[in-house]
Amino acid sequence: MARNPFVAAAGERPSPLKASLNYLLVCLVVLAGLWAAVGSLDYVLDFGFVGQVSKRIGDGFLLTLRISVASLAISLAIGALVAAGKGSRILPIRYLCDLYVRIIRGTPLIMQVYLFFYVIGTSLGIDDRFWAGTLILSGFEGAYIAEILRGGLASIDATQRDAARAVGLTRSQALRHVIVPQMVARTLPALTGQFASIVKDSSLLSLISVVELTQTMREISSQNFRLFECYFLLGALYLAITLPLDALGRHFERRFDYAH
Amino acid sequence: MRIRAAGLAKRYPGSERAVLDGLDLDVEADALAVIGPSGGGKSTFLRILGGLLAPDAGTVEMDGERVDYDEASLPAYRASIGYVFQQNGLFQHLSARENVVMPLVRVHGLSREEAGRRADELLGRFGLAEVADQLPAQLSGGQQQRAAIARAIAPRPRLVLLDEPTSALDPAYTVDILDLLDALRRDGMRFVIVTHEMGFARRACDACAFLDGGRIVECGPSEQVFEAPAHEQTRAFLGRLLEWR
Repeated sequence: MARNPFVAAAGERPSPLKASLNYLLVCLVVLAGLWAAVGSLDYVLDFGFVGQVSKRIGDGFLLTLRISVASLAISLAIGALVAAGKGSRILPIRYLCDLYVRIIRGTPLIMQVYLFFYVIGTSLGIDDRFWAGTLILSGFEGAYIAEILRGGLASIDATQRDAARAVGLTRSQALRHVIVPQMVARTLPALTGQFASIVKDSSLLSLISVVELTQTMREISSQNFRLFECYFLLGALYLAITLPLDALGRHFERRFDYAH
Repeated sequence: MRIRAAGLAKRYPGSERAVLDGLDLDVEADALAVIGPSGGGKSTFLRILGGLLAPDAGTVEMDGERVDYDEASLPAYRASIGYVFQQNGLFQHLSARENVVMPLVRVHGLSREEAGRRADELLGRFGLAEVADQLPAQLSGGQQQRAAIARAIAPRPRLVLLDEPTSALDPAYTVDILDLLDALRRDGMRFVIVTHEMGFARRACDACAFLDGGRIVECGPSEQVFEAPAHEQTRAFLGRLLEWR
């Protein structure tokens, strides 16, 4: 029987050739659809302006990267503290961490950006937009990272802790040589995905005029009215960061397969 | 080896029932089998012997030395004893070889070379040379337990505790592990095993303790416990077990 080149059984991994051809086909169809949509508007895409503003776009891109990396580091620290705090024996600490996670996860980032920047930021006299924005974003992502770390910790089999103690490791040795390595294996794929979220979420800092990638594009498009081109380019630039991260996450998932 | 336990009591938080209820034991044996019905407190008793769990009351003496259940002194005590879990006791993120090497280096202060030599020798002897660099998840249940035993005996502990090491294995692997333990016993390994393998308890162990309802009901030379149990409880338990043998 001739195999249908467009079909794979449930759970079957298509051959690399078959997979790439089908993927390419999908991409072409999507692009053609976009092309048709733009064409129906009687609009001619013109990316000629990009050369003149490439320095600004580059700066915005770099600022997005800087905010994201700083935010990842801070939100990891917040997440670790909150995850530990949620397991604390001291109830006020435990509930404080719980409340933090609930409020942050239960409200939109846009509200947090405005509220924390204009109300809390102003009252504390923070006027550096880069750091204000990075801290707000870190506070937001920290709640999600806390949950990822908490889940990773909870998924470690009790026998692993027992075994660590049984071979004679002290508490800190057990943490260092058994618990943390297993936590890393279990959480790295999800943390990579969260980093991609940070990159995307940082776009909301444009609301408080942090001139990162999105804000740069908003400014450029308001000057030259090349709205479509600007936002196509904006999407492509975000994908240039998030798609490699996605691939990295999959790589971690395969590498640490034993943990899942 | 002499093991003495006096008045051991343990109740888990939030539970009404005492798992151990004034357990007394005084036994001199190189291979001790602990048998009894599930839920009778066998595993809890073994965890206390291994220093993984502190009793609510009572004392344990190993060769005349009283075990101090203080968190500061327990790591050293645990390091002097090997422990084999029912399953999943190997560190999941380390290869079979690293499972043996890591405690030797981190706990017992051996150099990596020396630890590696010891690991290779044991794993080779246990037929695991081919799979030494694989992760536990890639090994069969029997291979995992052999690696776990290698890890337990690598530091040359004074005593090895085995908590139902074959309960999760299919019959062929079970025989494998029991043969291995018997060979190690003849080489001088001293152990306490919690087991449902009555043939092994009877023939490979010199003493046998029957634990039920949180107490040692009976303890004596294996042959005697199996041939002529002194207590009605023991007779009933063994009678039920041997029904299908």
